[in-house]
Amino acid sequence: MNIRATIRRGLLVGLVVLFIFVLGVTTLTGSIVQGWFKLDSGAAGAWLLLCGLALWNGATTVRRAACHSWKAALWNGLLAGAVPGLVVAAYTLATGALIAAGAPLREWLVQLTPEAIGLLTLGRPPLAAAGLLWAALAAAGLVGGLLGEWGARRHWGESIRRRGQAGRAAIVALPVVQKSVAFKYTRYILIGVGVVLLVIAPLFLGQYWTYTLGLVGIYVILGVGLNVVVGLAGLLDLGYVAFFAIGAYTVALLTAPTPHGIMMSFWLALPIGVALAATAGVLLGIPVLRMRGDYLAIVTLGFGEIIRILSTSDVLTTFTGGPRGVRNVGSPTLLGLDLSNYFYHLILLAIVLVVVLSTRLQNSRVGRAWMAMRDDEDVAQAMGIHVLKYKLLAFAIGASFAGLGGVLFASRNLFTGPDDHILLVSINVLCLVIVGGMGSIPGVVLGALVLKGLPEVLRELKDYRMLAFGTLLVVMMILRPEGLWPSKRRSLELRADDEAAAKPQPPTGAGP
Amino acid sequence: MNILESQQVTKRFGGLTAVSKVDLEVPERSILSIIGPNGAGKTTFFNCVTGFYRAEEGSLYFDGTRLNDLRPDEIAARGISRTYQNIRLFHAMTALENILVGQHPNLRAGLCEALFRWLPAAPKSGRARRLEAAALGAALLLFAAIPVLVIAGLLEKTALFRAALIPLGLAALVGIPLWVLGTVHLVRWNLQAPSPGRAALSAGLFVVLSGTLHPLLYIVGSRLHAHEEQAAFTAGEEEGAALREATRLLNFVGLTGKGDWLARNLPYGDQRRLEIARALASNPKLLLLDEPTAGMNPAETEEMIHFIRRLRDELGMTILLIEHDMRVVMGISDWVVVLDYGVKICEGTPGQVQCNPRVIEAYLGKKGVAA
Repeated sequence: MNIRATIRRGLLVGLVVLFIFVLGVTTLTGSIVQGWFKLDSGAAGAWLLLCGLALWNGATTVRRAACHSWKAALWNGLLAGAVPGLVVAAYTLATGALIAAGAPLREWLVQLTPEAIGLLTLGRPPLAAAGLLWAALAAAGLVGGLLGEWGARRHWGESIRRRGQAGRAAIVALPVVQKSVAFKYTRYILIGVGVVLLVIAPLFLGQYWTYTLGLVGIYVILGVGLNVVVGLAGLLDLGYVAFFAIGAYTVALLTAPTPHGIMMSFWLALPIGVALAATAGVLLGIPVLRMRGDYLAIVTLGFGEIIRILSTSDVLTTFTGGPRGVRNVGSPTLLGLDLSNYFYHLILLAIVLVVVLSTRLQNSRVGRAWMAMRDDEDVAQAMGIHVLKYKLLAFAIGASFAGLGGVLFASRNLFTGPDDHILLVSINVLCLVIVGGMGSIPGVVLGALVLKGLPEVLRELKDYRMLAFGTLLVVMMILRPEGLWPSKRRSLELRADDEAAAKPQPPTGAGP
Repeated sequence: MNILESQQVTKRFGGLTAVSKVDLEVPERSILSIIGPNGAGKTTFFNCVTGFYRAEEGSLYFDGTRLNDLRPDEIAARGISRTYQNIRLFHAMTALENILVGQHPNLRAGLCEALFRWLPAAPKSGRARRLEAAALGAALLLFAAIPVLVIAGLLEKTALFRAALIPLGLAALVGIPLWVLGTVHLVRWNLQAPSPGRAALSAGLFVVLSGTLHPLLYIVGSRLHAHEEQAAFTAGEEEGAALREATRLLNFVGLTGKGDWLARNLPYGDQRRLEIARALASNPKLLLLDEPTAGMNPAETEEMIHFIRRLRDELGMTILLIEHDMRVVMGISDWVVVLDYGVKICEGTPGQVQCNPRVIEAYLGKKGVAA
């Protein structure tokens, strides 16, 4: 019943609509709808999008307000449609008038083509078009409000939830499910099936998707490494790409015919690359780890840029190949078999390795020391943890994983150059750790799939894919700030029965 | 016998002298309270003892070792443990994990043991650990240098060949003494309890690992030796024992069944108790409690007094206490020290301190004495 809140919400929705319009999403939906239904103009799609938004706003506003009366629902819905309608109408009027007057609006707003305006005005004069838009949005909001009220009266939300619960309960109650939950090895069998599926995936995925999945895999390796540094030890490292670059350049320079012509075997270059990256991690760590939080982030950021700039610099051109990078990086061979077609499986193997290593570390004295440092460094030190040593260790482990990723990346692409090691890689890896859920390994895998896989899926949206992707990220972080798959603490406490076995004392008040 | 001695300890922050020339002697198995008005320097003194602050003047001795130049973690490893005035748990970790972190100085598992749980637990002495690190480094150098040498030979690159000789030489230099040490370890291990199986095993190890001056021989030899000596554990067993000990402590402080709760979700009183359990986990000789009953109701305070006394009587710990609640102080202290503006103004048994005019003055002001 709160009119003021409704208006505020309406204004917000109006601004969101303006934003997506300015960035060209309306044009996009217009053309998609046009393509699907073979219409001659995209206007229907754009209007559908706008009206849909108004409808949704009306429904949710009414449901939030919980007004329980048809009259209030009517008014709230009307307002919920009319307020954003007013914003959009004003915008249409203004741009229409300005363009008619010959103002060069497109210089600032690239997406503001005459077609984009035409989608809204339908070729009518600005004033008439604005009025029409307003009326349409208000009507949509009204309908949405009434729908929302109707839904609230029939308890739609409730019944859907109840049905979902009933369905889940029915599935759990199935004898098959019950038995398999009770069966000890179900988990391992499921993991085994998953692994087999992953291994044979290239057979039915085709080359392109296998390649993409390989890229996702490399990001999983990087993510698991950064997860140790950021998620467990709580050290914000923005120069993570430096270690990736060191791994990539090591394998490239050691195995490529130019510039050095060492032409070492890939298998020898691999451990050297990993070891060099880890060493770089420690060397960087020694001076910077006394810093905390933001300062550490800035210094590591600088370090990442230094490595990239060094690789492009003229002085080192003879050593690193300069801006043109290193070509013909060696591929792994095994017993005369060229493994470059099986890189996907190699990456899979590396993922298994890093995941096992990092879970082991996480659930050990070392992992606990890291987590304690992350939560409260001073107290951790007072508990006997040598903070500097464990920070260095975290840096070295994270860097060696990044080095491994870099080695695989350079060898898979047969090339590495400065452009592979830009700041964006660090940011992407950090994003996937945060999106997945800090400190959680399944989260990292999911995050990599979402961050590196989703843009490929969104390729349908052409120019707008990064925009849509960004929006999805923002929405996701608002809805699930703890990440897609937040880390869950293992349950460690010995229950009454374990305890009774440990010592012959009657347990007191053990949990259920 | 005094377990902690402070001689003329002074700590300044700029112009402010927070702790000024404090002498303190804490006898073993005693409960000693430090009291004083707010800002008297009690917590600062604690911070000097635990190494969080470095005292500018004076010395602190714990069990005969000077603490002044040690890092906080080294001090903790020597057997001093503390709690905080405002509870400082590791909030994103479970109760049990908090206690496990507290056990950190007593556990030995490092990187290798975390990765390979079947490894014999690492030796505790710093010297042995350093030697192992050297052995590992030498082995890595060997691993890296030999293939480079071979490849350089194949490609006829003399410069690379010479470069690879350097790490090889270094590895040999470090490796030879380690090889001798490793052999000694194997022989000693056999002499302790000779058996044909052991002899066969060590002979096999010797043949396999000493083929190329292998520094790894030292690691394996010392681990086998250490394994026997400490009659203990693989890393996995150590972890299991740590978990049992943590559960025992959890029960000891009355948090049974809450081990898997995140620390931040525990009620206030439980958080206090968990903090004490975490401090106890390192099995300290000296426990510093900073206002353990702050924010507790009378019943809980009573329970805490009882609990602290149990720590001393049952576990034989020495307890240094900061407390504002006079019932607690007078109830359990063997000795009370009063600080005011960083200066020790008086000390004595609870009864003596209670009647001391300077103490009353510090708490109530000059008029309080006059009245």
